[in-house]
Amino acid sequence: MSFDFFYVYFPIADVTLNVFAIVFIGLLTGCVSGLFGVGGGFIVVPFLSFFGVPTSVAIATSVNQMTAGSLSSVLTYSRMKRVDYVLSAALIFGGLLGIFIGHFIILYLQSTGYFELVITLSFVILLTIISTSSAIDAFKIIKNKQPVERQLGKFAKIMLALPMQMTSNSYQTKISVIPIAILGMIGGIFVITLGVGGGFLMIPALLYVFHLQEKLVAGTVQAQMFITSIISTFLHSLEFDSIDILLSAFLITGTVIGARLGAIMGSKMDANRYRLLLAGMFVIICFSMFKSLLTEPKEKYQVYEVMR
Amino acid sequence: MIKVFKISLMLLIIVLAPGANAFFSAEVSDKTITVSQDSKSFQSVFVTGAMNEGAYLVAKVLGPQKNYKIMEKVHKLGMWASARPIFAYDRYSFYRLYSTHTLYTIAPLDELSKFGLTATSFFKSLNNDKSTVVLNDYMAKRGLYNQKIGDIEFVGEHFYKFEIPITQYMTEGEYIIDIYSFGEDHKFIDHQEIYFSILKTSKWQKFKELSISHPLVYAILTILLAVLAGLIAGVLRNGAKQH
Repeated sequence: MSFDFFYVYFPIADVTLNVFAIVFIGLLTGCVSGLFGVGGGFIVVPFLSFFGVPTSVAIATSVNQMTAGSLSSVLTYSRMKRVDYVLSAALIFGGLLGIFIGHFIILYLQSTGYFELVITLSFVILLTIISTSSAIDAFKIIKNKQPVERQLGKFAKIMLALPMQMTSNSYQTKISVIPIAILGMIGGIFVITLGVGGGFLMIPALLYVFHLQEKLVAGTVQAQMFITSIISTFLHSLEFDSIDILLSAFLITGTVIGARLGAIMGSKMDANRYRLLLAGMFVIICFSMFKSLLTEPKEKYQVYEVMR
Repeated sequence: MIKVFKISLMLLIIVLAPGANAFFSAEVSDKTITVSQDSKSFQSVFVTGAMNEGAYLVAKVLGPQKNYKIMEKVHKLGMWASARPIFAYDRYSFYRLYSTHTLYTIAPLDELSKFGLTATSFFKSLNNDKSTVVLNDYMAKRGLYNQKIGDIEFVGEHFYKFEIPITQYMTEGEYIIDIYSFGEDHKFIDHQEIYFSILKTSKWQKFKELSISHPLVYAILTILLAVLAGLIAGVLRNGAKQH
């Protein structure tokens, strides 16, 4: 029996890959998202890169997968009335600005040749931060320590008192759009440049810095990610020609199944107790990415055929 | 059948005109080679023809001219990073020589060089900048610039053939097979150009074509796929929560 059938040539990524491996990455991503609520970009982009998919295609494909993931989350949270649409609109406004800025960052990095280096280093730094915070959370949970209640800091108070005030479901008083939009902007830059949602930054910031009601945080951020990922998909497709729809289809198939599995697993066990495993996985990904920067490449030159 | 008839006719002319100058004909086995990127099977193009007795043949195969972006990995601050890309424009994507005899027995190398029929002359014709050196090395490693001269085999007294293996690295486009004939006096007599094209296909090639020809439609299709999957995932997720 020939196993060639399981290998598919992905014309835009220009690689031949085993479809089961791609579906598995999607499955893992969906499962992790369902269990821990962590976005899939931190798994999808490094794994696809390890398989030889060009970094730009891996990022664009991750963005497209994010659209599916965030939409399913928004639907769920919206049904439970756990989305603050006014706050989301402010985050989206910032997100669109972030995409605009991120788009120029990509163009600059691609023209200087530092695109892969900066992306890999950014992943190494972010994964180090996330795995450390996940490990700290896990130890706290193991020791049955309750999270410390934090007061609204001076910085947050100043930021929320800036001009362009608005009211939203999450806050009793008026707050400024500016800090929320800045947060959304950073999230937008992450979406288009790294293919990660930025939830790892926006959720703690909204929760601990701006004291948003906990039950509204995830849904509000997911709504922003849904819109920014759609706009980023457009840009990646039109400007950078880097979305592989076929790769995306296999990945999303795995993610849909994985999200269902993750949700079932989450309803039967306390996922927080397994946060250490998540931290361990991120450490391995981080180490592998860093190692790829230190190891001398087999071929010092990469040659691509281009249109003039 | 037509091909056999054409070659037979050529052979008849050659045999009936023995006093004439060295004369040859050439045919390519396939004008268009469709290479499936989903399969690892190899194909070849065969060039066959008839030639007058005492003629020497040298063939040059040139691939379509393409533009290349070259990224060099440099060691900076202990890390391997890509440097600023270098672009090389209008470079031949394939170069290979074939001959009936050892080159220097066919004609003086200077004479052959005039027609680009020595590897040295081909590489000399390129700019000797960094991009060329890197590109030549890249092409040589993939067998695209082959410095080893392939054999033109004799089949009987008047027929000849040679094989051009099609590899996965060969690019799409029109390839030129330029065949030169030389007489027993080592003087150039005639040349003939024949062509074949490589067309790369895959089951999913249509998506790439769509992304280039209608990027907006492609983008909308990609988003629709994700939205549809998101809706399904949402339904499944809510089902799991109720479960």
